[in-house]
Amino acid sequence: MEQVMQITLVCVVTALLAAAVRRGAPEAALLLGLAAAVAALLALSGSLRELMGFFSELTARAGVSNDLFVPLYKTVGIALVVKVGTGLCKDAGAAALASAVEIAGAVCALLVALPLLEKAMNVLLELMG
Amino acid sequence: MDVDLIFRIAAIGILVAVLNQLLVRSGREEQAMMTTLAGLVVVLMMMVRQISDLFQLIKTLFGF
Repeated sequence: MEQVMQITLVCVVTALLAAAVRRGAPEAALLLGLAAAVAALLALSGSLRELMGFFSELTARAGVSNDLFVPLYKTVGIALVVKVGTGLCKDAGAAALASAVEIAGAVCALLVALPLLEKAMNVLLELMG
Repeated sequence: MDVDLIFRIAAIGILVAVLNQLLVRSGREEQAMMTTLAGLVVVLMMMVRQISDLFQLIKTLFGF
């Protein structure tokens, strides 16, 4: 709870600072946004680590192979990066770049999920023939 | 959290904006442009390490 408030405050204050700086130096405002995003995500590292530890323990207890869950984690990571990157591109007024980032994220997420899809396909093929 | 970095970047942004205005008003547009670029590069240099830290964190955390 405390962390949420910290991050919210930092982001809001940064948005205010960026609004103040934007008139004189628009690129500095953009860099401010980038810095705040990076700082907030880095501040979340401890909590994220804890969560991931719990999830890996859960999969180990459930007796499911970790290989099945790795693509899932990777997709979450890709989504995180793409979301922030898209927002930053849109802030800079480059909507075309934002959509390029989105497409790249979708392609990479599909690529990461390919082993899972292959496994599902193999199961289906076995069932059919 | 690295709040210091954010405030430092904001300070550099304000400084660059003021310098920019001063130089433009005194009729030195190209120097104003150079100041803006220099500020941009300085801030980027400050942030490169943080960004690489973030990507490293995501890589290790999500098993890439």
